[in-house]
Amino acid sequence: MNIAPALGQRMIDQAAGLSQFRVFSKNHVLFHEGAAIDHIYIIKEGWLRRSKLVASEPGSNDSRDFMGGGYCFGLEGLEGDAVWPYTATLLGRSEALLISIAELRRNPTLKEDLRKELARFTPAGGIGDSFQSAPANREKTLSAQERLIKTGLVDGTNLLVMDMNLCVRCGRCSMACHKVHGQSRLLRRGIHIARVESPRRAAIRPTLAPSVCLHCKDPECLTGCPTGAIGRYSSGQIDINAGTCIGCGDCATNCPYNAISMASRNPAPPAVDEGARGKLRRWLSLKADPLPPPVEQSDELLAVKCNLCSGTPLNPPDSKTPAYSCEENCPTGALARVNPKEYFTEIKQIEGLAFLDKTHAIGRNIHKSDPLKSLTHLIGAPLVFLLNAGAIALLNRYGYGEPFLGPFNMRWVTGLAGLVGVVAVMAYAVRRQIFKRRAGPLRYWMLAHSYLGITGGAMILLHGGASSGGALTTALMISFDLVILTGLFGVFCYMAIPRLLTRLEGDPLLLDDLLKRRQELRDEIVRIVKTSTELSRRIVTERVAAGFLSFGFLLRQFLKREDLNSMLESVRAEFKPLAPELADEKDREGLSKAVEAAATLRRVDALILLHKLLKAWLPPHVMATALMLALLLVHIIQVIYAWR
Amino acid sequence: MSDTNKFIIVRRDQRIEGVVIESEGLTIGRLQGNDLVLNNRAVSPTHAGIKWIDDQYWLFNLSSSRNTVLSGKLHGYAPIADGDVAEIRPYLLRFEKAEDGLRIIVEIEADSMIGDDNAVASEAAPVPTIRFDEQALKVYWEKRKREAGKVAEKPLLSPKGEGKIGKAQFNWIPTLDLKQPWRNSYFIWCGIVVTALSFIALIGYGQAFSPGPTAVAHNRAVPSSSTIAIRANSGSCYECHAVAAGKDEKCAACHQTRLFTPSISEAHLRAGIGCADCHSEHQGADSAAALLRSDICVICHNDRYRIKTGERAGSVLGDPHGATFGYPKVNGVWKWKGLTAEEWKNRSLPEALASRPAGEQFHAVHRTIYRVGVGQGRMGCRDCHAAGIPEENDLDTMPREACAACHVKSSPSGEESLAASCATCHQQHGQSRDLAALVASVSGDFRRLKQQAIDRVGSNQNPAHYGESGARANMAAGASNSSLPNLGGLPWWGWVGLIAAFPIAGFAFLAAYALRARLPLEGVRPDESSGREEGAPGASSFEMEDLVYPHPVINPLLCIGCHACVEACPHDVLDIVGGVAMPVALDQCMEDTSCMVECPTSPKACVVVNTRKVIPPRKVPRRDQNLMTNIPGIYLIGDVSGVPLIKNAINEGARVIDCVIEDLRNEQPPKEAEYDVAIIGVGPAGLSAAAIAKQRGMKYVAIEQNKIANTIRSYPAGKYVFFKPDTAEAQGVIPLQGVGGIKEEMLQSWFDAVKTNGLVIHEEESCKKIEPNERGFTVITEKDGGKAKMSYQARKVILAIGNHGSPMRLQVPGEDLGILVRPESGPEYLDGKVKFKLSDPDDYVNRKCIIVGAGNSAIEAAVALTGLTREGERITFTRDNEVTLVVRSDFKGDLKLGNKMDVYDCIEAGRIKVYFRTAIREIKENEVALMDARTKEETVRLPNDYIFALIGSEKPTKFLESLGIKIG
Repeated sequence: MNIAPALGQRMIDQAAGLSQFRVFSKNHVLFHEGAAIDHIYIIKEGWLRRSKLVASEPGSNDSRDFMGGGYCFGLEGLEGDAVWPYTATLLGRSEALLISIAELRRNPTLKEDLRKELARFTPAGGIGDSFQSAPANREKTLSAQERLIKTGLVDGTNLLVMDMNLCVRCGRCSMACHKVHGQSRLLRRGIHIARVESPRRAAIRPTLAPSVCLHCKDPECLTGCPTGAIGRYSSGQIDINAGTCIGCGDCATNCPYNAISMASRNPAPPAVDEGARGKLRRWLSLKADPLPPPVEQSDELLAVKCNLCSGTPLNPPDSKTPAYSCEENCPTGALARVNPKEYFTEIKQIEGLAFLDKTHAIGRNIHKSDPLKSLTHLIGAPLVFLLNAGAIALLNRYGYGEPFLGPFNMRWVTGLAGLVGVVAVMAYAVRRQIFKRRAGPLRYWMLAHSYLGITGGAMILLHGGASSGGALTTALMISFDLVILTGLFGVFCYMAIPRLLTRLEGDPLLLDDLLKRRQELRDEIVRIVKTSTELSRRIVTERVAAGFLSFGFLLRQFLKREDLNSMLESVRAEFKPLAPELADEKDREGLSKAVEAAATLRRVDALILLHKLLKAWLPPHVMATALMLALLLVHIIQVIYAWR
Repeated sequence: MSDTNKFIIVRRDQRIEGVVIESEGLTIGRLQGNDLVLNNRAVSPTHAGIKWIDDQYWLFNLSSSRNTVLSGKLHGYAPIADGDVAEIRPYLLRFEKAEDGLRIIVEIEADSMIGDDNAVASEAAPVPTIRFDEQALKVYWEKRKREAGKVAEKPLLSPKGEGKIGKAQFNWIPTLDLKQPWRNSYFIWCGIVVTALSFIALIGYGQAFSPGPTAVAHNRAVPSSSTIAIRANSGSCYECHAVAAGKDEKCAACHQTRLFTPSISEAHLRAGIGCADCHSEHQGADSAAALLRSDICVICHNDRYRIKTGERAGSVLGDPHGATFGYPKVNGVWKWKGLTAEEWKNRSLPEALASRPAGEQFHAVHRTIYRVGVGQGRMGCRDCHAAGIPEENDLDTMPREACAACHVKSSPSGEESLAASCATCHQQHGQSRDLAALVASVSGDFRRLKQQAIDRVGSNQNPAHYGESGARANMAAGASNSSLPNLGGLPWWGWVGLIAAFPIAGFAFLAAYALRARLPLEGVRPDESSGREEGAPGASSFEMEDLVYPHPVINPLLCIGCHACVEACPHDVLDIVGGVAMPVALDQCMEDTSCMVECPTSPKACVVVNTRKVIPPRKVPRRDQNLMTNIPGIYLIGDVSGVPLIKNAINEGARVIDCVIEDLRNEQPPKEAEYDVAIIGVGPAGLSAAAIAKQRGMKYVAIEQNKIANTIRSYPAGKYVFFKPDTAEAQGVIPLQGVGGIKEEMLQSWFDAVKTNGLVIHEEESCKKIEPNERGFTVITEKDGGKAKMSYQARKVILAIGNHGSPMRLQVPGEDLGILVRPESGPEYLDGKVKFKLSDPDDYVNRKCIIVGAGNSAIEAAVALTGLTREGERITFTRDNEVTLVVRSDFKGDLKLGNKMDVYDCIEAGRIKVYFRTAIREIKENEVALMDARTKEETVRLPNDYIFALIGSEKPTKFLESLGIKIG
């Protein structure tokens, strides 16, 4: 414990006799408001909630706050008889050192010494004093803190977080995990925390801790394993030894985060027809690869979970920094593996002084301070500007025909620059195929791809100029236009849609879930119509369906961007006057259900469409690129032969 | 009910005092999410709950498979009185009512690991009067149970329908994330399509790969289907473009004229201007267009271009004629010098005009030109001087603006025009008639073409572009090569269209999508008959006992208590309670289903519910209700039939004889044979059959390969044998009274029965073959280890050979070694060194034992030899044998959990040493050599007394199959 050096050996020896070390379970009330202070509590580890029955100041409802380890409580009781000003409830398994005040009073010198030293570790008097947030953000910060502590995320050692404002829902993290491990161990839904971006700014950052192992400090999965197959390994990861796992699934049951799944020990190899014909068919098939089959209970099971990619080619034994395939393969940098205590500033700030490590950066935040990303922007943006401005200036000076660089004129220079750009841009497509090796985080590749695309595209447009030549070169130019347009549209989608999604969806969900929910809601409406009386049926089909299952209501989702709860509130109010028309209580209930289902259905529809749009722009981009590459090849051959 | 109660927990088991928990309702269970965590395998995930209702605490049993026992009685729920003790095995919870809450003292109950619930369960619990809403409570506890299990809750929009249930919910399922939005084949197909289109273009449209149509003259020869071809022919790119040769040489190859090159002005030659610099191709089929681009001169002659070589190097090339297009009057002075007779001739104009003054020549030249615009006549005065005679002050400049009508480089529409250009007057190659002739022959009627072009320009007149300033603007625009209108191969409307296509397509899709949503509602009619009740919330969904995950259910009426399911379950879910099987640890069920597979009854007494697994038929010989196999005349009874237990065997033995008698009576025609029936195997079943056969006066022969009831004989000495099943009474002659007895006593009573009934049993005689023939069957046996052969004729055969079979042998040198045993009391005797079963672990004291095998029997034997005893959490070893396990590969997959835990505990304690991937190489008197199972290399030599080869036995199924009896 870090308090120890401050106290000195002599004091520790003396205090040892008066103190006892205790471990408390969750929900234990450490002390009650109004009870006499009889012990000094030094919290070694754990989290507690301080609460007061009455608000401390009029007009304020901040009657609670949270404290981490490293604090000392109860020094007020050293002098006279004092009572606790607040109640402290433990929010998780906690360890504390208790020093009996009665005994301490018998040793005045020690008491004074201790008081002097421990005062440094005592939080300021009232509840909420430790806050660094702006008052307007206090409630949001508090609920984020509560959620982090109550869900236990703070006790992770290596937590996967996703910034849903950046996440483009492409699923590459899951896919990368699947490619590396054989079964994806990352589900893009889980615990969602809306946290203020910084203590002083009110902007909300929706953060998702997806269903993937967070390598808890105190793992619950371990306790149930009958063979001891699951344990902590050298680099801190919790992993499952496939050799001793008997597939009983106890760890999966015990894990509070759904981070362990049962896979088949001998997965059936995908049915592939061998031979040249089968291979050809596979190469040419336009159908998407079939999804791997779900694991059945009849398979021989094996528990699998995230092991931080240890033992994979991503992390060879001599590697110095860890690499995670999910993080490496996120195209927008929405995903990071972090130490929760360092990442979540709101937790960091309630850690006691004894544990504040001055070397920690406060709140490592990949999205704000990513030096390589900034560097790419710093190079990319001026590069695009300079190259284009330079090319236009040179064109004005020399025109297309006049050689100015040895034998090369501007036609050649812009063409070759465009070609270099195209080749560099295509490197991204190659990088996307790499999962099992380190090839640099994809987000930098993506940025470079965008900048190179813009630069190369501009060069090629300048290369063509006003005369696009024959049919082939015109087709080539048009394919270029398509590539550039779809690419720019993609950039727009990636920037705008995730932010829109987070406004609409509440908690992030997988497309699978939304599709399922859509079907459920459709079925429910049909069921309500089927089971209601004629009048109610007419209201539902004519008014509810016309009102909510309409184009306008779909557009309203995108344009108004209101919270789901408030939207439901308003539609309920809209249909309240209709209720008295229905005599039957059951029909009234059915109507209100139908109204809610229809409105929710439209919200789900909106979300599904956004999810699809995030993916839909890509195939045209890829196809136009393929077309462009083929035509470009013909064009290059043409140029080589026409070279005088 | 929302008041918060206070619970003070004293954990005697963990030495933790007075933890105060404030909770609405206390949950107790194994999962960490519970308020009170009792971390033991025997405790359910959420086992029990305590809640303050109506001024007292109530204890609720929330476990579906296990009991919560309060004050000696079993309850669903019960009020807690001060001093009550609840039992959640292996924990004891003592309740004391404290001033401000309930005090719960948790202790470990040391001897409660093994025990029987029956005594308690049988006492009916009095149902207390309930004064609270039971449904609400159920919902409340259900919620708490879920909370205890999982931290994450479901988001608002997530699907409400349950996915998989029970343990299956953790099974890995693929998500759409694993679906790529596009495939690499898109690339391939695009490549294929483009290549195909290229070829089609090559064949169908020769100019596809040309930036524009080439002149007719250049394209006149037979159009090649391969313009990108190796052979240079007309119409191919290589006619002019070649990697090695310059284009000028290519031009000169056809355009042969002596004066061609010399006639180019010296200044142009010096500047390196070649043919293609002035004469461009790909301008259209009209070869005249290719002759000279009208704007070509102003690329250099434009007031900006600086001459690079020669004596005038560095000076600017001025705009021709002060940018007046050659109107010869500048500042009132007539500049035009006129043309020579030679020049008139070269232009096919009347030579006579050469002698006229310059001013008249100028007008005469223009009057030879066909008029611009409509009409056919030649140019007249009004074509330029339209406004009549100019005023004095603008006499010098006025008609000049009209020049642009013809002398301008492009038409307003942007098309290249054939307007009169620089070359109309300033001929570059004009000195030679040869060239003129050549050009004329190539292009046909040059004048006609020229006129057409002029007409084209004229019809598109746009005054704004004319006049001096307009012309200059046009020239300036031409010089900077206006590039915006067609950037990227698309005109402006193309770009607008493309960009607009995105939102338009989006809106169209949205609208279509929005409309589709209402389709399922159309045509839906109220469905009074079936639907009305559907909407009501299902009351049954909160039933606690309604377990949704797979688990076995036992029908006690069908269960014969045979242990088959108990033995089969690898996870110890089932046990025999009160003579029938009972699921005792339901939440340990992993849907193995082998319990149901192994259940011998028909219909099955053990059924696994909620499973989607296919239950395969049990692998037992087939027989009908008369106990006859698929071979007519051969009957099957006892263990070999798959129905275990002694009592069953005895009863079947009694029953089979009646069936045989019935069948013999119906036999048509009756066969004549030495014996009515041959009974193979004399265990409980065979003995019973023989006794009844004797009683019924049949001619029988009973053959046993060892001794009577050999399997039971080999039970440990003094073993207490349960006469199972409890539900049946033994019938027939062979005595079996009570619920069980000592093995020796039971056998003795059987021997007595053999004697009193006068039964004749052929012992030590092994049946080798049973051959059917017209008289029934010939049973061929061997005696004295194959030395003597016997044969019996019997009309019917009863097989009662048990399922023990003969044990598999190690087949290594020294397997038959003997060992001299010197017991502390009694005489020395010779014992086999290699044993095939462990009869009694007490026989082995301080011995060095090697057990070969990895199955349940090997592990059980090994553990028994260590004398492992459990007392609560404490483990002791009562025997001092040195036990070594030799395992060929690894422990068997079907090893039972209990055995697994036992053997791991022994290994951990150092009482069992295990050699994996090892086999016996050689057995010597006092030591054994082990070898690597794969490489067969000797690994170690161990001192040793006994070897137990428990590697299974050769099942009797082989013998049955050789008779043609179908199994399974």
